[in-house]
Amino acid sequence: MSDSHATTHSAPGGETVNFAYVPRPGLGRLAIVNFLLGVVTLTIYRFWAKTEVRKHIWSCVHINGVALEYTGRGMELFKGALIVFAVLGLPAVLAISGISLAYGPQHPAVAGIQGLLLLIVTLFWGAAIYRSRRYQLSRTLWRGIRGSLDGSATTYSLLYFGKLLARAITLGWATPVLNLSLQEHIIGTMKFGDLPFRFKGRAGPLYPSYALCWFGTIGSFILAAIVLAGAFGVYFGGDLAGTFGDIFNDQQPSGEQVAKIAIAVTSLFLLYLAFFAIYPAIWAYYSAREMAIFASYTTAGAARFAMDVKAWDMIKLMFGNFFLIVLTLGIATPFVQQRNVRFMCDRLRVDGSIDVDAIRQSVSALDRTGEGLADAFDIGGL
Amino acid sequence: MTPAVYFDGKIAADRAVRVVMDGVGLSFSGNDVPPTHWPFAAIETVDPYVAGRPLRLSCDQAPGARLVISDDAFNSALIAQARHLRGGVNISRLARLMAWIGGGLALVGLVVYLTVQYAPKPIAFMLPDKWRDRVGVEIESSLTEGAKVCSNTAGQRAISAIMARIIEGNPDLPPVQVKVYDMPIINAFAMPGERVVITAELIRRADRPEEVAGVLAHELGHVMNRHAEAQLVRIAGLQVLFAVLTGGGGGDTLSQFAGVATILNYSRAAEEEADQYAIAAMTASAIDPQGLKTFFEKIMVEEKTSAGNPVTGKIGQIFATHPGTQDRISKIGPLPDGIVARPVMTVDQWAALRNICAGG
Repeated sequence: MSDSHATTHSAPGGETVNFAYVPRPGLGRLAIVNFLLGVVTLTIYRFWAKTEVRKHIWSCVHINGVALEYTGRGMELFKGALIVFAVLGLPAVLAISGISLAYGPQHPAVAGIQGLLLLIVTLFWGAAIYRSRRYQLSRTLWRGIRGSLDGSATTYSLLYFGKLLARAITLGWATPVLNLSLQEHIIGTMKFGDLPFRFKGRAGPLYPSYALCWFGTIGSFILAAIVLAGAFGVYFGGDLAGTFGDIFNDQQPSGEQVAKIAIAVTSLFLLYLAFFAIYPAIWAYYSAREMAIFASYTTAGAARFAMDVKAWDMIKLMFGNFFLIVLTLGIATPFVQQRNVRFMCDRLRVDGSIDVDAIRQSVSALDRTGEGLADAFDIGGL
Repeated sequence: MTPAVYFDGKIAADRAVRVVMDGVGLSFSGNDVPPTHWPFAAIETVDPYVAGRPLRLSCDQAPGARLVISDDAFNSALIAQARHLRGGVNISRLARLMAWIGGGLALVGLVVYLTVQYAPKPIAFMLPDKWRDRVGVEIESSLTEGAKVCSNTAGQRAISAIMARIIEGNPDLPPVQVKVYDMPIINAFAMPGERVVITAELIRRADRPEEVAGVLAHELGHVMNRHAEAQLVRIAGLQVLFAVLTGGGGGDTLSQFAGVATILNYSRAAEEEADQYAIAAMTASAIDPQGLKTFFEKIMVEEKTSAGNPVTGKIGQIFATHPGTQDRISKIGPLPDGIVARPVMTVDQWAALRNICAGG
C-alpha cells in the first residue's frame, strides 16, 4: 500500500482495479472532539465535523494503492443548510406563526401548512439524496481526478416519490423494480473524470429473494401469532376469557389475575421489540442479494463490478452499528461510517481492466454549496 | 533529487518526477512534466503527516494537482522547513470558526432574549382587533370544549351588575365579554379579544360577591394589559427563533408547545400586573378588595393538597402556583381612608349569580 507505484503498471489497454480499506489512527480522537464541539456549538459544528470524518475515511480507501481524497469544506455544507433554511424552513415557520397569531394555533390552516411541508419533504427527499451524492462525488478525488453525477435531481426525486407511492399500493412488490430504476439513474449518470459508469440489467433476478423475504415476514408474523395464542391459552388456562371478561365488565381483577396479565403484557412488549431485530434480519437477505446484483449490473469501460455479500455479513454489520451507536450515545457514529465503507471496500471487486491513465478531468460544474436538503431532512449516510 | 509521483489534475495518469527543495519551495520535473515550482506558502498537506507514510501535497496554484513523496527523510526535512505542512488540526482556523459560531449563537441568544422580554407587549397592542377576536374565539372554544355555557337571564344580569360596578370607577374599560362555563375546576381565564371566562365552580366556592368581583377585576387586568395576546406573540416569536437555531421547520415541535395551556400560563410579572390593575380598579369603584384576598387564601389552602394543572387541574392558575403567592396576597390591603366600600350587587342578584347554571 504505497502511493508511489508510478510506472509499475501500464499493461496495454489498462489495469485491473482493486479496493482496500487501510485504517489510519485518529478516528477516535476525531469522534470525541467532534462530539464535544457539537455540544459546545449547539450542533452547528456538525457540518465541519462531518467534513473531518469524511476526510479521514476517504483517505483510508485505497484504489490500486492510491488513497481517495475528500476535498469538501464544512462551510459549503453550512451554506447549503442556510439556503435551504431560508427558502423552505423560515417561510414555513413564519407562515405557521403568522397564522397562529391571526387565526389561533389550532386553526386548520396550521395543520395545512404542516401537511404541505410534509408533502414538500416527501417530494424532495429523492432530490436531497441525489444532490448529496452529487456533492460527495464532486468532492472525491482519486489521482487528482474528481467524480461527478450529471443527471437530473428532479427526475430522481420524482422516481423516488413514485417508488414510495407504488410500494404502498403494491404492498412492497414494486420495490425491486423501482430500486433498480433509482440505482440506474444514479449509476447511469455517474462519472469518474470523463469515464462514465453504466448500469444495465433486469429486475427479474431480484424477485426470488424478495419473495422469500416478503413471505418470510408474513410467515413470521403468523407464526408469532399462533405461538402467542397457544402460549396464552396454556398460560391462562380456560380462564383467558374469564380474566379479560372481568376487566371489560369493570370488575376488580384478583391479584393473581393482575400478575398474570402483567406478565402477558410484558412478554407481548418483548415480542414487539424482538420484531425490530427479526424484521431487518429477514430483509438483510434481500439487501445482500440486491447489492450483489446491482454491482454485477454496473460497468465502467471494459470492467464489470462484482460484490460478494452475504446476508449474515449484513446482519453483523447492522447489529454492530446499532449497538455502537446506542452504547456510545452516538459518539461512535464515525466508526459506524467507517464500518460501512470498509464493508463495501472488502467486498467490491472489479473484473476486467480500466485504462486509468487515459481518464481526463471532469468538466462538470462544481456546486458551491452542498447537501442543504439532506441536512434539513436529516437524511442518514456519511 | 528525490523521486516522487505527480498527478497533474488534468489526467489520471501518474508521472514520476524528481523533487528538490530550495529555501522557498519545491521544484520538480520529469519526463512528461515540465519544470514546476511550488512555493511553500501555496502548498498544503492533504492528510496529516504520519512518519513512514507517503506525504501528499496540493498547491493553490494548480487545482487538482497532487505531489506524493514517499521518502521519509525528505518529508521530515520538508516539514522542518515548512511547519504548516505537518497538517492535522489547524488550531487557529478552528479557533476562528468557533469564534464565528459562538458570536452567531450569542447574537441569536440576544435576539431571543429581547424578543421574549420586550417585543410581545407592544406588538400585542398593534394586532388587528379582528385577529384578536378570531384567536380569542378559537382559544375559548378549545379551552371550554364540551362545557356548558351558563347563561340564564337572572345570572347574566348579575354579571352585568358586577361589570357595571367596576366600570363606575373605570370608564375607560372596553366592552368585555364575560361568560360562565359549567366546568369542574376553580378557575378564570382572560383570553384575546377582551374575553373572560369564569367557571361555575369558582362562583360556587365564592362566599361573597366581592370574591367574584375581585377575580373578575384580576382577569380584567390581564385583558387591559393584553397578556394573552402578548403570550401568543411570544410563542410565535420563539417558534421562529427555535427554527432558526435548529435550522429546521420546527413547526411540529412548537405547535404542541403553543397549546392553550402554554398561552394562558402567564408569568408571575403578568400576574402581579393584573393584581395591580385589580386593586386600582376596585379602589376606583369602591369595591372591597378583601374579596380578592380571601379568595386567594382559600385557594392557597387547597393548592397545598392538590397539584394544579393550569387548564385541567382542580385548582387553576388564577393564583398560579408560583412561589411568592403569599407576597401577592400581602400586597392587597384595605381600601384607602375616606373610601367607603359599597356592595357589588344586591342579595337577590348574588343568589341569581350562584344559580346561573340552573335552567336554560
